[in-house]
Amino acid sequence: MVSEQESNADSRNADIHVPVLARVEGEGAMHVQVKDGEVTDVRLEIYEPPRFFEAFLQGRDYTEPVDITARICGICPVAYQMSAAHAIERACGVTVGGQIRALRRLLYCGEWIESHVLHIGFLHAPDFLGYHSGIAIAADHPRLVESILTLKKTGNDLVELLGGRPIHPINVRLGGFYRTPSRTEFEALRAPLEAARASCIDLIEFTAGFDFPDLEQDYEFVSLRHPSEYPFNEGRIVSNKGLDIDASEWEEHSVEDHVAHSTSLHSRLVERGWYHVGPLARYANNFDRLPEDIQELAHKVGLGPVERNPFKSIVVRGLETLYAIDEALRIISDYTPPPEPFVPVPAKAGIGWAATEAPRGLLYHRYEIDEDGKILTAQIVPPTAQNQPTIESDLRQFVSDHLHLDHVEMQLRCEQTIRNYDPCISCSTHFLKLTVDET
Amino acid sequence: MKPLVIGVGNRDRGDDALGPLVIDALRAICTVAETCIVEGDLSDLTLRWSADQDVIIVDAVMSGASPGDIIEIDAVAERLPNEGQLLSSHGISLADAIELGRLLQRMPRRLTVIGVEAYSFDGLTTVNPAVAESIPKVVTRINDLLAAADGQQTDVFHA
Repeated sequence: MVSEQESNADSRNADIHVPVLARVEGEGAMHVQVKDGEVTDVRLEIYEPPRFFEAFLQGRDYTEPVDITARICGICPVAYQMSAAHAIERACGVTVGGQIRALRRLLYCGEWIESHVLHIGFLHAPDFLGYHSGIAIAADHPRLVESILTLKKTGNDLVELLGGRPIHPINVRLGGFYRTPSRTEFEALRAPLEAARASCIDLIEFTAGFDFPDLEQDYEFVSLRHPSEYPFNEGRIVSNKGLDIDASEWEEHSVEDHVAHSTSLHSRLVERGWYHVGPLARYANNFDRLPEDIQELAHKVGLGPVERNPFKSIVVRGLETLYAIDEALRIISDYTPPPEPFVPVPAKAGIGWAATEAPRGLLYHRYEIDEDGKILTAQIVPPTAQNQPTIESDLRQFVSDHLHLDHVEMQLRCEQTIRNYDPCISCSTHFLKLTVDET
Repeated sequence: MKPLVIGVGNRDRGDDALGPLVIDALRAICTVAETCIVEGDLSDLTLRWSADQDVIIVDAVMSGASPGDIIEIDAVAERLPNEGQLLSSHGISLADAIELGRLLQRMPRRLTVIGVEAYSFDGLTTVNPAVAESIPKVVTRINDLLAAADGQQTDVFHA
């Protein structure tokens, strides 16, 4: 909720300050200053206290990050579980394949559906429809909201069946799962998923009709790319400007800076600076990995294979939700329970790296483990930390291009510019810059 | 259609475990009602019931009363306090979840909210003794509500 807004703008001078951002997760503020027609200051201020997850992972057993890091976020815990599991399994020299690998993709499908639909319906659509909240939409657009609730429930049910509960799953472990559901249990989800598919197409077509403000930048889109799949868990880290690396090379190409106005580190690529992660990046780098019918739907609703207007991310989230529904149906159809719900992952000294695609974008984990399985160091780079400089760049560009807007409209559009990224500030504030002087 | 009793809460958050604990107690003795536990996301609450169903929701609350105090609200007739107070952008409050049902015209025939005053929602703490002592009282009250809805005046759990 916005507790207070202080805005003062004319066509060439403006001071827009929103001390508490609404409809983003966590605690952040926005400050934009314009003097004589020039944007002189833009800050996405994140003041949520740092949470030090990387620090308290040190010394814990290598089996624990799958559960501990899931608590970083209530809407994308699966992403944290998957990045942690893949990184630690890599350190231990274990690869998970077959049906367990498919079930990990299925769990990710559930999370994308839950997260994307929540953002589309309750956090982002209100900006376009002129409401202060998703609940306020319900009175005038009941069918839309019922659709959103039904879609969200489909994602919740999927995560609950496979993860043990809809939030902070408890059925995930290194090497796979504690228990794998039966075919019958999954079959019960088929009809709701098929119904959700039709609702999702309606939702995509509805959101594609919104009035999108103009904003385009020459983003460096960074995401995973897999040889044959639209990426969830695996692939190389690529960009549209030539980045093509294994996760183990990430820290050679990306650095994190501590800036005064944010308790979340700012990420940048060593070679080219700020970059963009999330649905638009995945979509641009992997359009050819989407099934033909989804590509056709994208064209039908006016999107090309690359979409650079971040306001249209709401439509791309819809397309990714549709992909997640189709992929879930495919995995359920092909499913045969594996002989064991997990493969053993014995401890081994080493370093493991992994990046997976959280709903908000690339999520990188690195763990260094000793021969007893104790974690020596951990690093986690969440999507919102990576997108902060990009959000500030968008704000600067948008304000520069729209100085004619009155201050109310300008403030609203600036907030919307931030919400385009579905930022999760709580996720982003867990950095470790800790020096212990034991003398 | 069987009545539905929903326990709202997180077992790992101190007194927030109240709702699930009441459902645990009910499941041991009650066959006349459907039961479910909603641990976090309340957005789909309104999809869990039917228009011709009697629904009881049990949740821990903080209103300034003494821990363990029990309140009861007829949520069809009146709105819950704290409407519009988002827990976070990733979740909506019980009050908003019910209001969503009202806006969508998806309210059940009867909706009773039983709230038990909590002492703490801190993680990794046990349930406050005064709150724990309320559990059998809440179960008894649910029995009374189910019996009244069924036109009985007796113990529906042990009939």
